[in-house]
Amino acid sequence: MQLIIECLKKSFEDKIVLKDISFTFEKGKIYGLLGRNGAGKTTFFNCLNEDIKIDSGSFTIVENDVSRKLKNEDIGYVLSTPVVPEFLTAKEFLTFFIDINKDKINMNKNIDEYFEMMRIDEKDQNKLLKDYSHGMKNKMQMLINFIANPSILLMDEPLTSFDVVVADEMKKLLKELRTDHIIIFSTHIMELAIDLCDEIVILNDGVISEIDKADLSNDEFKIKIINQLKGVDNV
Amino acid sequence: MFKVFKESFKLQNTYKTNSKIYQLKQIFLIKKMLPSTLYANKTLKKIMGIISIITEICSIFFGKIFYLLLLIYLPSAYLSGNTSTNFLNIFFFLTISGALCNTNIFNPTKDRYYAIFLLRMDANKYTLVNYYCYQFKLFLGFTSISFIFCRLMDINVAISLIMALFVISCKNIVICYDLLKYTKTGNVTNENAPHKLRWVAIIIPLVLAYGLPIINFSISYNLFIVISLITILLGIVPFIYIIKFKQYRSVYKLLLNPNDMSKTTQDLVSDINKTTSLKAINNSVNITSNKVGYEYFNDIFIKRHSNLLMKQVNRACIFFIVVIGIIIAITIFFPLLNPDINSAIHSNSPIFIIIIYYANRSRYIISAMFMNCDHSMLSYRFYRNPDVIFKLFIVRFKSIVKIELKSTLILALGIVLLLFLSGSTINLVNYLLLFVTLLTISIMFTLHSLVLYYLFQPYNKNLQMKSYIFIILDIVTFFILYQIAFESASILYFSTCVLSFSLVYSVVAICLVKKLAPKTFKIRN
Repeated sequence: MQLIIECLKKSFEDKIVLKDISFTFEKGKIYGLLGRNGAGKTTFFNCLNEDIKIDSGSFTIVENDVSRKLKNEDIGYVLSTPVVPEFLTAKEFLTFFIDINKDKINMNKNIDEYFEMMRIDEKDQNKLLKDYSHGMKNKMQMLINFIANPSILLMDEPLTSFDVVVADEMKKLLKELRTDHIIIFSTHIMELAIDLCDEIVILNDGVISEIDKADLSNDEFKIKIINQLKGVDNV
Repeated sequence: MFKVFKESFKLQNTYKTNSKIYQLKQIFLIKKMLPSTLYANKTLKKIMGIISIITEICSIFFGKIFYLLLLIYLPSAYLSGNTSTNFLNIFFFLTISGALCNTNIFNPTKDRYYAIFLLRMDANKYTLVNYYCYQFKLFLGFTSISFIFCRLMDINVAISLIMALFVISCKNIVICYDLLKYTKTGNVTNENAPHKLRWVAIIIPLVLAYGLPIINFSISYNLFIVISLITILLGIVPFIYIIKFKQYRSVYKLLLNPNDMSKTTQDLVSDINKTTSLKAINNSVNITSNKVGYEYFNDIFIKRHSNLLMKQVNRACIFFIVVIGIIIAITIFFPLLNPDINSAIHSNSPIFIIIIYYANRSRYIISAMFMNCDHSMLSYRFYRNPDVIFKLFIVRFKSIVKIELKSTLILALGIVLLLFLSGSTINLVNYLLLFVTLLTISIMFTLHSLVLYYLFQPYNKNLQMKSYIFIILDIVTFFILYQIAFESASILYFSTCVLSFSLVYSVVAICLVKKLAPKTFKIRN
């Protein structure tokens, strides 16, 4: 499966954020999306998730040589600021979500197992989501997306709010998930990107480009990435 | 000290200049024409800088003109007794209130935070320089403007000097008290958030300011002079204490919360909206529902917000019961009035439109729906699926109608009963027509509010209202209803119009929601 982005453009008033993005993401890979502050990473995700209207461009899914338009159920989006319905308890939210999506999702675990997977104990399961911390809300948001199992997962700096134990488990989980998914993962932590991701793509000057690691060591690769982000040619 | 003054002036002027440019960029229609590089335009910055200096100078005088004219002179002239004595009385007590709630030093402003903590300016010098400027402006403003008022009232013009110094001295005394309190207890006064005792201390002089002239007990001219002069003399020691005080940095460390300082006014408004809406959620986790899917989701929402939703409806119910009860009592005990009541119901039934409009709380329910539900759920793509949007629209419509009908049922039954008690009606169908029509109006208001919400969802992710069309449509709706409400019409004519309109409106509105809501029901940018 491929996600093909063609000629994506997005501006806010007179500021061009995404110039003319054409890129192909492939299944089985975790893409680390790097960019400087304000480069447009979240805008890029918002465009893909149709949260904002794009100026021009298209998103196509190619599967078994058949092309089609990107659909709602293709995408799961984990926002950097997690949003969950605060009037529900975690258990109620999960029950509701599973109930309305039972025809679409392949449940290989029961509710308790899902909570166990995210290390959410019973006491917290019955707590209102409005009383959850940022990290706990983020866990719920991730869990929903894992259960929905969309073929494309957009993750906007998802691991920064987790404690080290959960972050490590999430990394393992994402590595397991990549086989059947396209995972696009934005972060500012370069070590995390290099460690977790199969490909590094940078969003610079409104354009996405892939950086080839080739035979470089991790340190050399970091320097190459930083130079690219600075807009300096490779030294 | 002069260096600090220069730096402080420059900082404040830059801050004010940029605020002016920002305000310019917020103006509807103009904002789209202005480039984002506006802040770099030196000529514009100079112009805005000059404007902000002129504004500052004008505020020294205009502020005092409005204060002395609107809050003191006009009430003094209006109240009984001598205008000049009333004037001095109101001025005296308002100054005490003002000193307790407006000292400048204990005002947690952003420019103070930037200067002291971000730019690491000397806190003591910065505070004092700003306080001297503040006092100078007070002195200049009060002396010159009160001079005019003294002339106007034939009071000795030297009083204007005493008035200005009295204002400054009162502030010095209050500041000194608050600084002493800080050194003893470690607690800092925030003048924008006075505690209970301070409120009492502010309100008492306020009451005396206007209350004493009402009972012809204003303080006399001589007493004003004596107390003011004593206060001025007493104010010297506190002023020296303020100058010698060396812990302003520690005071501001407590007063200026970095979390609040990093937020814009819009952020603060959003925070208040968010906090208020979260408070409306019932914390009980024992609330359950037997329903499934979106019915379950909506049922839990309604139950967790029952306090908020039912409180409003219950108030309307009580109001209707009391008002209708009183009118029923009138029909029983004053039968002579029955023909008038009966005729009013027969020919003025359109008035119920505006009554039901006020009683209908669906707009508030919908607002809670966005704040505590759709704001988060709309970021999930499954929730934006056209079928889901329409399904939830219907589920919500039914549940809000159920809530709203409680009060409308009381009104409708009450009016039908009133019609019967006040002399009945020639055509018995009128009972049924009136009853059904009133219920239909309530249902239509719910539908209308929900349709507007789904077609013009007005909030952005920061919970700010961003749709002018939504606001305009709301106003237009009210205006039309207001016009209709005061028309005369028979029950038959009124009911026929309402029921036919409702039928057409419902079909059109539901079709529009089905067709357009998948595109319009989203979080605004």
